[in-house]
Amino acid sequence: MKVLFVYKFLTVGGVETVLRARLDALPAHGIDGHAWFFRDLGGKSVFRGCEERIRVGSPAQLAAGLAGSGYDLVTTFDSPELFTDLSLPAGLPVVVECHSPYVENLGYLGDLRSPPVVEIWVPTDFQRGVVAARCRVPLPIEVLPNPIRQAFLDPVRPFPAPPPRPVVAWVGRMDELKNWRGFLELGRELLARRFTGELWMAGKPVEPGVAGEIRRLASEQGILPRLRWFRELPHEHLPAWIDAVRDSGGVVVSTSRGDTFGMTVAEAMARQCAVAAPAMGPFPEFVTDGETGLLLTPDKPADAAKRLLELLADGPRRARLGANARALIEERYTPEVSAKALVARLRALAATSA
Amino acid sequence: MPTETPSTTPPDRESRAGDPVRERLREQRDLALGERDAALRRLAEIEASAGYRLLALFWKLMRRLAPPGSWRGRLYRRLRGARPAASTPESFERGGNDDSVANDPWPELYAIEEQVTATHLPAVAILSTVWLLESEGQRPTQLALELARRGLPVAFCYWRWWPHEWAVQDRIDAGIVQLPIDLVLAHPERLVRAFSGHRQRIAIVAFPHPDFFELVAALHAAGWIVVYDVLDDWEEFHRVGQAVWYDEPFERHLLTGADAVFTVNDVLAERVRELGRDAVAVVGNGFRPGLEEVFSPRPLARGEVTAGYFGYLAGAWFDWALLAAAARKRPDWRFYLIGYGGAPEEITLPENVVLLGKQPQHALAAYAANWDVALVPFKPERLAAGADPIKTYEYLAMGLPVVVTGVYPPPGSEAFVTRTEGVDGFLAAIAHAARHQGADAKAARQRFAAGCTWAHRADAMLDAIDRGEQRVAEKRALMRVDR
Repeated sequence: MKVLFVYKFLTVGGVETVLRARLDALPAHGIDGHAWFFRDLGGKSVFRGCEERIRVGSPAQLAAGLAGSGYDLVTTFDSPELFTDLSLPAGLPVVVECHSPYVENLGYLGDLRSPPVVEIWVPTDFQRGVVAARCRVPLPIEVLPNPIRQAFLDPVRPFPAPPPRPVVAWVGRMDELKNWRGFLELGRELLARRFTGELWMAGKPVEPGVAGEIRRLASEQGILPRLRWFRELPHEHLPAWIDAVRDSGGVVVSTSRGDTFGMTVAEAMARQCAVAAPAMGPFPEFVTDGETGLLLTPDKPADAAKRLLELLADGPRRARLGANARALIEERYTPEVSAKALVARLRALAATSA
Repeated sequence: MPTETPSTTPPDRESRAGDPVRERLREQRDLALGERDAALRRLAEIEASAGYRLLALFWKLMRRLAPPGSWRGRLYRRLRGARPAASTPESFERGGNDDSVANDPWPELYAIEEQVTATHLPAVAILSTVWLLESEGQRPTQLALELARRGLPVAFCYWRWWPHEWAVQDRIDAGIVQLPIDLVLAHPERLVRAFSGHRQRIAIVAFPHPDFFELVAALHAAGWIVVYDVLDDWEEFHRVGQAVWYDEPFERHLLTGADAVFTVNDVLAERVRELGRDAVAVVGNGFRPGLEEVFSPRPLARGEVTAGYFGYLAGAWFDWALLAAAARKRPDWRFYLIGYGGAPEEITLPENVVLLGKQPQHALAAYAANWDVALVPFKPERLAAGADPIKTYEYLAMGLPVVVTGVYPPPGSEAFVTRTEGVDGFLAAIAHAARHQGADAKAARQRFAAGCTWAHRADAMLDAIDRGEQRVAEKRALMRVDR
């Protein structure tokens, strides 16, 4: 079986991470997986070692490539160009994978037609609800768990040179939806309660001027002296980065207002790091408050700071949450688990097509 | 790291470095640029003065009372004459002016990347307030030259006042590319991604400009070892009207995140600790060997005691009042001052204080050979306390006893450098030092100085980084690739 995964942007993000894990896992199941991107925005490093199975080209080039390529199925991650800009070979089934947390990007769901679309895949139950509310055609919506990359699931070893103070860390795209401002507000509340550690951010601003805005706000809120920003941290360094946070006695937090899966939190959990995430969106599906992490009331930074400080002061509790988190990720989100679910769906669709 | 440093300089670099005509031309050019910089510094001082501010207020008022185009405006202009307004930039203008294409330095950066094959050596970027002027002898310049001599490629990022100013790329053969900082900030990824094949990349930030916020974050993420080299008490410079860009929260931010922090003396190390950075190492300034050599004598009239000073005669820290009072009390002594600048209007210098103006660096030793004692007469204020004058090491290398006020002797130099205060203490210290003219005493001073070259300082910094001190080991561990 030969499958092509299509996504518009080749960047360093969650979709690329998922695709990389799939490309790694599928050959063992006898499935030949490839990926196609419309634009390269600097994400090739994610596919180091399997470059021969990714291509970057326009929708027109893709259309030309599809004819006679032998693909049995095409899936597309929130890339409606596949339907609007090119004519697909007759009979080629298409799966829409809806991972975008940006509501403005989901308008295409209302225009889906069947055929060619045979099914919609989403990473969480939360996203299933989002998609169902926007889709006019009664298509099956299946939850396919995202895989965590193997690097995050490697054995946990002590970080060789932990940071000198506890770190409260935030990872993500620096835009409104991921709510980096929320992290600065949380930092302000932590410092107001005599938090003596550091605040780390890993992420790249999407819009120009954001860096200046971060500095201005961080300075105004008095947290600039404790802030350590890693702009555009390569994904391959993220496991070690999380290990450093964990062994500093710290916590990875999310202030996101719009995730469809919560990959950064799940990756931290895989590294056995205590996490705190908003009690909304997809997070409650894998963060159980007090068991595998903390669930915080959104937009209540003072409350969140209070609970975080309790956790920062309680090493055994952090260790327990981290261990539980790791166990949950190993149970649900390993590449094997995810690949099995993916392979099962692919085979089911192949059988239907046949 | 020093064990990996090549013991000899590559031949092409050696031959270039040994060309005396080229060196002399470079020195003359450096001298001119140095004078330009000194003039700009003086301009900044003037702008920061109370008198200037009062005048600025007056002009502002006049612009309201006599706006351009009005009859009152025309009358005012006729009486006053046109005078261009000077500016003190508070933030870096982004690159992209008309000259930017003609002077595009990025190909030079890429050329250096290709030229350097010793990728087991670190690559270095230096963010400097000064230009790469060897005659100015500033620490960022001297470190860049020393590191380049060892075969390390250096991206020397210099601050410029106006976007049409460009450093001449005359050090490419030596492995140094010169980039305007504003251009680097406009395209941070170009510097950040440079030298990616090197085993280690080190970024030395020599001043805490808040516009570096995003660049430093990008350097951190890309695995550069970020070093904050604290050369001055920037907050104090800000307080006296210089370093208008200074922002204490940003300096604290830089200190928190830096993988290594070095200061030039204990006073600054203590300040750094007060700002929240626990781990800090003192690496004093140094001197460039050869400066102590006398090429052609420059005889000067001698006094009963002859003392001298060379360096920038900045009103902000040079204690003119002390020097004038001391000279008045000892009319038979002679005091020689070499450097750009002069006494402020309110100070009348007695005749036994002789201003020799700015002199070429290679001639300093010849002048100093006439002195019994060398001086660093700085005001006993916080600004001077944070300094580690390079001239102190140069004086010692010339074999001279040194008397200082305001600043502290470099650690270990207390036997050769006397710190004092007040006119009487100053005179007593000079008289005492002048009596120590024996060959043994001179040799002892020179032996001490011999351990304070820029090569020693570069060793100290590179060794500390190589050993993973402070947060360097943490950064290396953070950047380990996929397991």
